[in-house]
Amino acid sequence: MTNQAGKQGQVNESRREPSTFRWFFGQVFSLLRRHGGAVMMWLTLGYCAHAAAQAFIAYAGQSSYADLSVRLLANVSVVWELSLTLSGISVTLYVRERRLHRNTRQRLTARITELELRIDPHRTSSQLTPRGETRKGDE
Amino acid sequence: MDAKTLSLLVQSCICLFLLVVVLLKFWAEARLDSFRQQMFALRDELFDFAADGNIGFDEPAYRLLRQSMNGNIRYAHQLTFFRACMTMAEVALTIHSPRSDWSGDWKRALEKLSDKQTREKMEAFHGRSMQLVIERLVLGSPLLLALVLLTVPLIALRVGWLNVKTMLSRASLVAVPHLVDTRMIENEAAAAAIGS
Repeated sequence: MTNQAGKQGQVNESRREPSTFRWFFGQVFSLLRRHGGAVMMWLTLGYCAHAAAQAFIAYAGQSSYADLSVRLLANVSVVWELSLTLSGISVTLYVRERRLHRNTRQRLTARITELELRIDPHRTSSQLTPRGETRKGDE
Repeated sequence: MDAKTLSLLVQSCICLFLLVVVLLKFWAEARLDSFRQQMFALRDELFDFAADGNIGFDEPAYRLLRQSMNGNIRYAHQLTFFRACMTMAEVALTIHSPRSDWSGDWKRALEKLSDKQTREKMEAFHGRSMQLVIERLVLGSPLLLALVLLTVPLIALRVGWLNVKTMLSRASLVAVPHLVDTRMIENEAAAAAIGS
């Protein structure tokens, strides 16, 4: 009986231990899960920088810096400038509103928590910061 | 390459750079804040439901649902289709035993509730919570969004056309569980909340 229990324990133990192949790809997927988004963003930014650099390399030695700057600025379209200005204003307004919203949240959170704790002393929390942001250790 | 082409290329690169920043930073943060806000509102509604005496604050069903909502709020930034797929692959490859059996505990807790109306209301709260989670997954993934849009005509053929929001919501509930194990998401969220 004891032997059987021991064998069963060994079988369960071997089931829990993944093979090296599975462990390796498990770790790869784990890394991708955590950093995949950042990798994609930096790849796109890198591609942009590379494309722009290639274009400027084509001009190297053929044109002076001042001449190139003037010609580039002369070709900037009004539509592009307007789009960029409008987008910039929109993003600035959004960031400002978000900051105000977070300040309000910070001001009210302590009071709400205190009132709820009076009704439910075992109240559990989402563990966000008082401003409603992800905690450093959870990122 | 003439100056006009170079200028266009520089403008395109700057626009692409700004688009990446807006999409991956500001848009992602706005979606995250919106999800958390909606989940907080639902959690407050659940609290009010219990404060009105409909269910005890110490009832396992109440505590489990609040735990799940807390986990979803806390780790909402990790709630994406890509991460869900990676977690499923990781779990499948490393043969992890589930970190918690929230789904089983939830089912047992619901069975313990004697009042039918309370049970139905708690199920409705849970359904709304899952709906928010699924919406977040769908709106963050072009692949899932395309799948949901393709499912809408099938649903319309089966049950007839309702309003756009209801159709999208039903299509999400039908399509997403085919690709993502929603029970795994619930278990992970609950385990995350316990880990606090």
